[in-house]
Amino acid sequence: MQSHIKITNISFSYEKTPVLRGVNLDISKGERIGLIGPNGSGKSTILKLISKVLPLQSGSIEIKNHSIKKWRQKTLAQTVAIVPQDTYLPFMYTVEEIVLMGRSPHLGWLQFESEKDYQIAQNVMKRTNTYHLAGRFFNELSGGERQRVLIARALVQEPEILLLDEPTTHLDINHQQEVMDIVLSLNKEKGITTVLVTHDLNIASLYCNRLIMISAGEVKAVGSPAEVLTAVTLHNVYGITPQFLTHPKTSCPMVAINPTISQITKEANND
Amino acid sequence: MLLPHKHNPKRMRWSFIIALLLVLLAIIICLSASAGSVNISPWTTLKIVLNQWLHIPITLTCDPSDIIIISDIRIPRILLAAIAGIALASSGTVFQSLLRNPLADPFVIGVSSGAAVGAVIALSLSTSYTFLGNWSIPLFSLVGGLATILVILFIAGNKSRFSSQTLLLAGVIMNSFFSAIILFLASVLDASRIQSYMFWMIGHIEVTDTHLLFVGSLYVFIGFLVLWLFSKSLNLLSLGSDTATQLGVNVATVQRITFVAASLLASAVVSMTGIIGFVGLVIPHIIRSWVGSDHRILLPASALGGAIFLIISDTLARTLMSPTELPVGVITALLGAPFFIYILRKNYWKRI
Repeated sequence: MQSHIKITNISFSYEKTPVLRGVNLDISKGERIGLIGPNGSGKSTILKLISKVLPLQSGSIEIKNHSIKKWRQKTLAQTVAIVPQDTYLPFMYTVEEIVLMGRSPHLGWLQFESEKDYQIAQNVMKRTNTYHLAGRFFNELSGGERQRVLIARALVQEPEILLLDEPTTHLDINHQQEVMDIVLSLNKEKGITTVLVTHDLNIASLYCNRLIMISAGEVKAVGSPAEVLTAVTLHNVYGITPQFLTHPKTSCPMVAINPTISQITKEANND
Repeated sequence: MLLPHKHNPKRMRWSFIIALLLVLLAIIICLSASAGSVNISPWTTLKIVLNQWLHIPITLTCDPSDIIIISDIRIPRILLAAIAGIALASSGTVFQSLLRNPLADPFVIGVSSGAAVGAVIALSLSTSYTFLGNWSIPLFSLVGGLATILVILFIAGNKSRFSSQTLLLAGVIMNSFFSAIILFLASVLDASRIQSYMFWMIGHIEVTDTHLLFVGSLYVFIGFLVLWLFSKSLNLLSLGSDTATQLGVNVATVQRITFVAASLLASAVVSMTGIIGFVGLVIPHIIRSWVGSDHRILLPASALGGAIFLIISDTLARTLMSPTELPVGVITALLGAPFFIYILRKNYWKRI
């Protein structure tokens, strides 16, 4: 398998607070990676380092066997696209404008979007079910619609690697499914390597073929969903003892929290 | 709706907008030049402008004094108003996008007040610096503006990218600091200079030197061009610096170049006309609600809108209470504020 992202011993600190401590990852072409772990564990920082939003402090990252330091920002944007959590826009841009901006890594400095760029945008928008929103203002859309538009913008970059930062966090369950189905089908059809950062263990289990559990800046477990979502790992990382179920259709492991009986009784007494 | 077109509909629309604004600007220039204590018909004005400024051979049948009034007095003044409008509106547009804040304008950043300090120093010293002549105030205030830019860049630190909050806060603090200096200098200024100080602080359009006007025009043209060349990067930057980076923009470089260019534009205007408020804040918003937020059209349309707005304001300033002349800053605020509120109420604010 061709290596797409190779992370070797990276560490990162904001000011003096260490966020990542010696993380190693090797992601092959076409994989669907789920980067899971508690809030503040450093998941999003990894995505920012891969996309060069943050400078590398120590260790090395290779994209398609070339050190990230050698990638120009613009060429990197032709290969790696990121879907941010949610974008606040202080100004009014239409969905069409936002999606077309995803073409900018492929355009020259003063070059206008060509027929071809419009065509690509159109195809992607149909694909992500955002075509009917083209003339609407981004800020006026619902959370699910906005997330689909952000996916569309990432896809018109025509990336080989798609990084998603908590794309389903604020979405209703129907929109979670819609967004994740799009991501899954893109991976299946075009072989786009996807790295999904999420704290939703069940989404990760259902849609990823390999999970990486990160906690306190370190990789705690790597492997298939069944290998990572174990009682021991979850207890070590989250300090809980959940129930494990099996998804009847996909037979993926599902994690259900286990309410502590005593607390529920206490609440009931208070009422 | 998004459809593949042989001819890009966006560019057609943009060309139409620019053409419309240019026609409007031409009309406003003629109307403004014909208004004043000596009334000259717009038609005669147009002929004089075509003949004297564009060297188109037309036989002029009017009074020779009219020619002098139009081409030596009114048109230079209109030109100054136009370039000031262009500079203020385009720098306002850029500051709003750079800081991702709809309230940003050249004054919020503190650059204008820095330039103002320079000018007030020049005013209070002017007797000993007469060798600079008409250029002393512009040069002093340009230096003031430049110094402020350096301080802001210093505050922003050596981090690769600016934080908009830091910049905004720095601007607010510098503004109040400079205001104190200006007030201090004003309170020790001798009475004979208070009038020119007043005019300067509220902003007024007055051509003291035609060379200065030409240098200023060239300067503003270059500054605007620099900003416009970064339009696409500014589009991406207004989505946030992380997103811009991920879409291939070299954020640190673009932020610095556009910030310095916009600041230099603003301080040049302050150095020529004093502090004219409202243009840099209001015009970009009005234009945005009309043409959208793509800087490739937003910047030139705002620039032209700023020119039109300032020419109208200055015409009112010199004709409303003639022969008394009002400072143009009073008019821009009196016109700008109600119009802005109208736009907000109508459709704009709810979208932000």
